[in-house]
Parts: sequence; C-alpha cells; structure tokens
Amino acid sequence: MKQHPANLISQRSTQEAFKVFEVFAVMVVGATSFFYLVSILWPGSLSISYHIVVSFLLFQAALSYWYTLSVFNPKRFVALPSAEHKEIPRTTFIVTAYLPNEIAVIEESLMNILQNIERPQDGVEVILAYNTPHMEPLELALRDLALRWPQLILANAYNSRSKSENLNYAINIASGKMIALLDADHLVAPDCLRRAWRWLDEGYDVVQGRCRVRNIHDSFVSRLVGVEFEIIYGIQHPSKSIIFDTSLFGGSNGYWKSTALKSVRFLESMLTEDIDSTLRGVLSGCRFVHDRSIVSSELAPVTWSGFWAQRKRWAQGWFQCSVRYQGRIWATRYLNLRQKFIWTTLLSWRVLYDIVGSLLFPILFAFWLYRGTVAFPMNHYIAFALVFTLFSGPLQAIAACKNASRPRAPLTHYLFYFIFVWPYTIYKIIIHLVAIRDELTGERIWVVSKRKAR
Amino acid sequence: MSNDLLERLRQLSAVDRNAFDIYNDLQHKVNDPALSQLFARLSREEAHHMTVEKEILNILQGPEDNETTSS
Repeated sequence: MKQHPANLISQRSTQEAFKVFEVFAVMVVGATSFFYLVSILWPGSLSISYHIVVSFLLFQAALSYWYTLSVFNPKRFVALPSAEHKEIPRTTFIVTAYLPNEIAVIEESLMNILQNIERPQDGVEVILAYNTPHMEPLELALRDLALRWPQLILANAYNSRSKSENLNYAINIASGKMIALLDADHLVAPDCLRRAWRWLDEGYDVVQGRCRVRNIHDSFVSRLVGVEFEIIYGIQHPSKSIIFDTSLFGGSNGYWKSTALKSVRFLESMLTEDIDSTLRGVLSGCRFVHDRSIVSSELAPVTWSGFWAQRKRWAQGWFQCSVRYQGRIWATRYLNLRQKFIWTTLLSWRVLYDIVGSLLFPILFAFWLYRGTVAFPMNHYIAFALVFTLFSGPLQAIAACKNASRPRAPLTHYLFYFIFVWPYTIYKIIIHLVAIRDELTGERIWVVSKRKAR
Repeated sequence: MSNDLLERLRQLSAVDRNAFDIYNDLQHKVNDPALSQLFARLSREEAHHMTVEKEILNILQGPEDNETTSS
C-alpha cells in the first residue's frame, strides 16, 4: 500500500531522530564510559587523549587559516604557453532534473541558457535530461519550448532512477566539444563559456565555477547556507587551485572537455557522483581547476529537514569516496606530493577529523567523572588552541565577505553566520556522524530536494 | 537558414534516438508477443528516421562533422 507523503516524511524524521540517539549513545555515553574506565586503569591517558584531540582541531584550524589567507591573493587568469587560443567550440549544456520536484524551476533555468548565454560561433545545444515517474503537464509546455528553440533537446532518461543515469544518457547524445553540467535550479552567468574555455584551452580538463545561493532571504537555513557557499566557493575551492593546482567538480556549474567526460562518466552506485567522477578523473590524469569568476546561482534548502537530507547524502558520499579512493590517491602517478596531501585532507582526514574531533566532549566528561568535579583543564597550549580554533570560522566569514560574489549578501548575513558558526558546525558534525553510521550499516537513500521557484 | 536547419535536425535526431531507446526498452519489457512486435516496429521506424536524418546531416555539414553528432 502506498503511503501518504506526509506520513513518509514523519516516519523518516523519526528514523533520523533515532539515529541521532544511536550516535549520541555511542559517541557520548559509550565514549565517555570508555575514557573513564581507561583513566581508572591509566590516569595519564585522559590528558594524552585530550591533547591529541585538541591537536586535531588545531591542525584543521591551521588548514582553514592557510586556505583563507591564500585567497587574499586574487589569482587572475593568465594564459599559459600551453594555451592554443582556439575559438570557443560548440558547447552542450546538460541540465538534469527529476521533474516532479523541479517543475517550478526548470523552465526558468532553460530559458536563461537559451536566451542569455553568449554563444560560441558553432552554437550550443541544451539537453534537458530528466526522469519522471509519470507524465507531467510540464512536459507538454517543454515540448512547446523545444518547438521554439531548436537547440533544446528533451531527453527522457527512461528507466533512470538517479541523476547519474540521467547524466550518462545525455552524455551519449551530447555533440559539443565542451560540456557544461548544471542542476535544474541553476541560473548561470552569460559569460560562463568564454571564462570556462580559457582553462580548457590551456590544458585543463575540467573547470568548476562558483555557485552562489539566490534565495538567501527565504529562511534562517538558506541565509546560513548562503554565507557558507561564499566560503566554500570563494575560499575553500579556489585556495586548492591556487596553492595545490587541483580542484574538484561539485556537481553543477562544471565545464568538461567532452572527451574527458565521455571517458569518466558517472557511477550510479555513488551518493556523490560528482566527487566520484572527480576522483576517477584525477586518477586517470584529468586536471581540475576552480574559477570563482564563473558564477551560477542556485537554491539552498529552506528547512532544516531539507538541509539534513542534502548534507547527509553529501557526507555519506564523501565517506564512500574516502574508503574507495584514498589508497589509490596515494599510489597515483598523476598527483604530486602536495596534491596527495590536500586530497588526503579531503578524504580520510575529513572522516578521521569528524570522529576524533567529536571525542573532545566525552574526554572532558570522563575527566569530570574521574575528578568528581566540573573543571576545564587548561594550559598555554590548550588556551592557544582554543582561541586559534574559535577564530578560524569567523575569519573565513570575513574573507568570504571580502571576496563575495556580486550582488553581495547584506553584511548582517555575515554577522549572523559569525554568531552561529559554532552551533552550525556542531550540527554538521552530527550529520556527518549519522552519515558514517548509515554507510556502515549499508543504508543509502537519496532524497531529492524539492525546489520552489525564486 | 542552413544553421537553423542543422539545429533543428540535430534536435529531431536526438528526439528520435530518445524515442528509439524507449521503444526498444518497452519491446523487451512487455510479455504479450503482439505488443512486443508493435514496439519493435516502432523502434525500427525511429531507427529509419535517424538514418535518413543522418543522410541529410551528411549533405548539410559533411560526413566528418556528423560523426560527432550521432554517436
């Protein structure tokens, strides 16, 4: 019997709440008991564990400062000798959509590409690769659109159950030499192809543009995500390009050489097909770069439940990729030592950091139990680490504000992020731990975000 | 005109290929042999459309370019 969507959502929320309870039971009660018992046997262990965990936090904060400071260097595009200065080739835009959820936004996104994009001489084609469980009235409207715009191809990825399958189907029929991949809610800037092609022309295989949130005024959540995206796409991604000459494809607003994309394609079994394709691309010698001047706007989740579903999928997908590719990243001949280092911080270090970092409180609780009093163990090292770590997030917010995409979000949003960055970070760590729990128990669910037009 | 014609042909060729894929899939999904034959006929017709479209594209833009548009 088919369940009512509201019942499904409520059932899913209860399941997720129970998972949080499980994670708390293991990571707080279990870990606290463990550290308490160990401290009885070996009293020095608590202090050592405490300093190890603080060192983890310190190292992560140091990475964050490094990234943040690097983007004060505005690395502009400089054509390398390898540039061939070829004309921008015919380009295929692939827009993927799960129609029932993205009806409200898809037409606007397609019209933006068809009407506003600066076209290369050989033209563009726009493939809407969609799947839908039943015929939608919108499909008829889209056919009218295709009649008016010969560049628009409606590709019903029949039998598809995932974004990867939609993408792979569209890749089969794409005729452009450059392929731009966009999600259904993306409004990309008119000059995107000119900016992206510069990098591909000089030898890179993939360029990832900047994604900004356009519904920042919709809710508390979208406001936080808006600033966070400015940090991710204004600091974290560009810094990896500037310092390490490597980057990643983030799922949308990415521009591929069609030869590279047709060989890498997308795996349906992965929850973050973008990171998976990036890693398989890196391991086969593809070069990735980030250009924050290629701007596209998208819609952030507006509710905590939407945010939870999206971030848990991301975290679980990253975890899958860490397990699958970390060893191969160390072994590959296509990356230098610095690049292997940065990829390690993105893969296994990220998982380790989430787990080890969250042990700080259990160690503290065990210490309180052991001493029979509530006290914060403090020395110069711990005090320094505390201040250093606490300021890394706000500093990123300041740097993101300076380098923000235009039109810039109001300063109050940055102040807002500045205030809430710590509870927000803790919330995300809880999501990451639940994602690890899901992956370990083999639970893989892809909840497609429902989008409202804006 | 020629450019518009090319764009339109590429679009129709992709649409026909999409229809071909779907009919081809349905042909193997249905249990009724009569239905299966009808879907097979439809997929053959779509394949025929694609072949003729390819011929027209060959005339309009030369056979080499067309290799990339009808993979």
